[in-house]
Amino acid sequence: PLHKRVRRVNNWDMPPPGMEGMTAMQVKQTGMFPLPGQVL
Amino acid sequence: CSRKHVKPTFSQTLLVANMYKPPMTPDGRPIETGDQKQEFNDFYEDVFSELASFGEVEDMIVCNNVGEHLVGNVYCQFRNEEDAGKAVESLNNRFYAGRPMYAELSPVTDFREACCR
Repeated sequence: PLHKRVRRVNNWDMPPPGMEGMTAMQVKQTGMFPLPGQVL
Repeated sequence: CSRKHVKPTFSQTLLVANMYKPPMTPDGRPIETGDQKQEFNDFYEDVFSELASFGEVEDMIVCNNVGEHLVGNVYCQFRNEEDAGKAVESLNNRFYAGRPMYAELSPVTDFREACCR
């Protein structure tokens, strides 16, 4: 079953370096992680 | 394409924009090696396993495209609309590989017919 499968990598819930205390929403509002092609 | 797509309120399909970052050479060309395939497979497995915890997944596609608004986009079709909705809400509050995720519902229902004109 899927949940017993060993994952070779796990990158989930890894915040950007130095922004460990912030929520994902707060980090997005800083504008430091815009989507490519997105007009700001 | 004007990229002005209507975002549905309910859909079985979710989109996480630019979630996969393909490895690049310093001058910005993609690296195509066996290592890269392995790296991609690890990514796919990592993401699929996590998304499957929200509900039964029908199909999951990672977009490889020269268009920068499309490259690395993850499309995941769930069996149930409610699961896709819950996943979007949750993913928008989480990080993946050092970046915040941008998730939304997608109008795509059939990946073979997903080309936009």
